[in-house]
Amino acid sequence: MTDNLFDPGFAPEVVAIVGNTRRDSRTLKLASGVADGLAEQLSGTPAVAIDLIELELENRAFPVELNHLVSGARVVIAASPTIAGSYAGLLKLFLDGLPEAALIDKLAIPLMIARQARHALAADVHLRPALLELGATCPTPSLVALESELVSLGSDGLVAAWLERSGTWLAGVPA
Amino acid sequence: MAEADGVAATGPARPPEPRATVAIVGGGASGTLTAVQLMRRSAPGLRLVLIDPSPEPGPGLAYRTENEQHRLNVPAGQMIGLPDRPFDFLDWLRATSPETQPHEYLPRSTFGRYLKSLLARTRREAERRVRFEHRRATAIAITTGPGDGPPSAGIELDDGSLVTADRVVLALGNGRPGDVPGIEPELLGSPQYVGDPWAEGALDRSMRDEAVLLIGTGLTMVDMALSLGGPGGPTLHAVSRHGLLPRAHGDTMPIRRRPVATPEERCSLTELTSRLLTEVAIAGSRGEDWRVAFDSLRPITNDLWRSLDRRDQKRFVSDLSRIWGIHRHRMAPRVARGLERLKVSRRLRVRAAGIERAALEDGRVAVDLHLNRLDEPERLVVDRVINCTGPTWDPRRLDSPLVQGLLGQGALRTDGLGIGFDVDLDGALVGADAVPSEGIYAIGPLRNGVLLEATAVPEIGQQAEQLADLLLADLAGTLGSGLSLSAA
Repeated sequence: MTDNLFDPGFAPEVVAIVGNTRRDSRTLKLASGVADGLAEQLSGTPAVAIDLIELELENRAFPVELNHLVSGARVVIAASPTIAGSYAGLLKLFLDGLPEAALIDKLAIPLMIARQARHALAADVHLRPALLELGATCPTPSLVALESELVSLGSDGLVAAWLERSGTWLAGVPA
Repeated sequence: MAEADGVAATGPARPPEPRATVAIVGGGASGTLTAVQLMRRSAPGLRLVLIDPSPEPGPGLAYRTENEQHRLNVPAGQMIGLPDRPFDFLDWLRATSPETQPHEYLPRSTFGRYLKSLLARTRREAERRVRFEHRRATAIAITTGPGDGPPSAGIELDDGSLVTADRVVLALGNGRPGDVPGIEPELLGSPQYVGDPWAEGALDRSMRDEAVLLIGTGLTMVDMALSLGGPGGPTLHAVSRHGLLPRAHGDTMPIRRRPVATPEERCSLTELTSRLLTEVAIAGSRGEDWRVAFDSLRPITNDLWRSLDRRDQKRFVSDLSRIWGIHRHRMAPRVARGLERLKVSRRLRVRAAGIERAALEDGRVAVDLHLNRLDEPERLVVDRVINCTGPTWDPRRLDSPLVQGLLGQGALRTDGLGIGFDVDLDGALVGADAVPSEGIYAIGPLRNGVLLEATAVPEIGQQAEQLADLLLADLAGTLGSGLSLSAA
């Protein structure tokens, strides 16, 4: 057990894990917005959004502290841009490093930004099964943002629209 | 040079007739540092009245304890009371003990003695310009003059006298802890409940007890556990909602890094928390000290706090302040080791629990602890209950007639979060009419609601310097321009 922040005393209810290979990406902004909005609809405890690219790998693994963060959460948002028709390898590396059934009692939300409409299903075809495989429950539609929508609606607009529909569903799922 | 100064030779120096008065209510660290800065900076003709019931102002509540185990929570080199003379405390220490190192965590009483000596030294240096009075009394009410004309205030003291001042500084320090729900009135009124562990002689009787319940698991509890928990002392039980203990300082002082966020970025609380967590995780994977991530925020904490919107400030207070506190306000390494010894030897047991009920029963205290939502409460029998929940600064909860009076007059209101007084950026009290006062200011932890953290000496030192400049500039019309001090 560490004596730093990642201990049982600090367990944000909503945790977003962002796998974009660029820092401060639009994926991070969108995921933070959703996490923040969801947290407010749930208990109000502030959410966190971890930008995987900021972290350093040790023996090809992310810091074990992140696993504590995930295990303490109720809702996990897995966020990525579409890369080569699927989600980013960075996010896959993180998911692969989680213990077996790490998401067994979690609600998970696949979140992806798609450059073109033909990539819009990547979240459901690739990311959702990975989360399900880890034991997660995925009760909402995936959040897929087309680049054109990001431009026309803006990150905040997309977040608001998604929260209005799916956020209320999530709030209704018993803890 | 000194010989050329004719005045020095003509016996005791006498300051000129006072033309303006500043009164400081409270003679702890905040009040003392304000008094020192006013004296150092004032033009001739200032009357400075320090109102404090203790025989010798300076240490206040925080630095009065003579228990050697009660240590400063920051290393000596960071106890900077005078921003323009950052080495003053170290120089003072080295005059008597040349071996003192800046990274030592000294007994709190040492800093108390420094404050006393600093006040005395400054009085001597300023005796030709400033008339200093220490009134050994407690201020019980402040009345402000009629609206027009220059503001002046009358301060009523509990010895029946009245001090009239042009400006008043409230340096009330830490208020006694707020009451804990669940404690029966009969116990509250008995000597077996210690409502304020810092009151004179509060712990004397507890030394002979068999078992003591400490409510709270923060730094106050740590001090009390170390005071009581020696060989032959009582068995200690400490409880709080989270059961979290303050973290320890590392054995070495970590190097400050670039802060994870700046106020100009106007990050949300989610962004700030995420970046801090990321920084801690990076430090962890590099085998570095996680404390750097927290310490990098220290110089900008006040500004970061003010860059958050009201919603995020509220969420921080309700959800994150505890977790922030245990990482940010840490124990000296030696204190942490002492606490660990108590835990290992089973003299201290720390648990996450709520208090359902505590009441007198057959001469002892029966406490029903709520350990979780499902199980029946657990019965604990102790001889004494000590409230270690830490100081309060919410004016509504302070049992000071002065504060209650000001609240009643509408001269004071709580900040929107209920953690301190409402003040403007200069520290002027903001009253019920939302208008900052022109005559009454608050300094130190009373400003917590606006700044988040105003409890540590370096922050208070900066506030004292700025407030002194502001007051003297305000009074320059009657007093003349003050002295300008440049950094040493």
